[in-house]
Amino acid sequence: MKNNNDLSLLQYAAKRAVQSRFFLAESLKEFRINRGMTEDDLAGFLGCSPELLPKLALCRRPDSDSPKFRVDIERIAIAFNMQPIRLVQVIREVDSLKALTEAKPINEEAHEGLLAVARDLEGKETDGTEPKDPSEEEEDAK
Amino acid sequence: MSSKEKEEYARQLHARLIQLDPLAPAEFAVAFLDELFRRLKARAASNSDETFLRDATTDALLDYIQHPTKYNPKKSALLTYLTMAAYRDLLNMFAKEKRRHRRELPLDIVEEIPDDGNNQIEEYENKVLDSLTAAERAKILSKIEETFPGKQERELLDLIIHGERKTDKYSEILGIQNLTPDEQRKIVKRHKDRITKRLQRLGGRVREK
Repeated sequence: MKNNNDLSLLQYAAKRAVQSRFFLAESLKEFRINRGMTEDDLAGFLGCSPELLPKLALCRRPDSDSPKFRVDIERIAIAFNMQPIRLVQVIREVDSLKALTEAKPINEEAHEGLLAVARDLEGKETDGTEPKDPSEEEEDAK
Repeated sequence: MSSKEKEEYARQLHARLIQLDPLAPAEFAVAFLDELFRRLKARAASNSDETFLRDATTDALLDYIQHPTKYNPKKSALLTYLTMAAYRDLLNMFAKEKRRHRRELPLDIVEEIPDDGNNQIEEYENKVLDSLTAAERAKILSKIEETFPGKQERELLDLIIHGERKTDKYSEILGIQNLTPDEQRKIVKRHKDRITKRLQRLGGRVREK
């Protein structure tokens, strides 16, 4: 691995840009790590030269909720001579993973409520009567 | 590219950044990172650390790219503004580093007590304590009180910090003068080890703050 002082300033800036969602750097890094790729693998996946990755990383990340998303993707794809669909794949995959990991867990109260509903449903007999207590069932068997 | 052309190009990119052009950030970085670094290096002290210069350059540029409206074109040329921003970041880094050094109270000094003892330690302690702000000093002293709540412990600590080596001084505080010298040595050693360990842990915590 290169020492930070061995990196060009552009590479160094791209590395620091990972800390902000503003830049494509963050999505590229997350995608690469999630897929267990090297930088060369990522460049191969995108269809661009590995030397272009720092510059690509410093592009503004197209916002998938914005009406400009498609236009922004196409502009970047043309500038870096790569397949737009691959860039969309990177952004969407990382966004989906983020949405999953950042989703709030169900709170205790709601969780209890859901469990109670589940217990009620499980306990209902098909004829609509309440389920019998197991001890009563034993009595019936005698 | 002449400096006039550079400024013109910077102005164009600035306009594109405000329009949320996705390529403008990368183009700006490619065009001006090295230039900004050179300008900052020329402005900063000649012995400035290269890593700080790189950090200040990239921080200023990345921050501007994300918030281009902070720059007011009526006030100065863009590259001048960025150089100033990078220089300010650099000074902040130096100040932060200086504060970090100051906070590093060398509590582990108890591990290596010099032969000429107390004067040297006191001088060093005073130097460190003098360099702290009142708030930092109060914080460290309150941490020491928290870690060593008992009077006896603090008296033992005082002896350790001042390099006292005579067992009988410690025995006096512990009230074990009636025991045999060998027993006293063992008990004193146990207490000193315990206090030194807590002191080292406290040193670690103080540094982390």
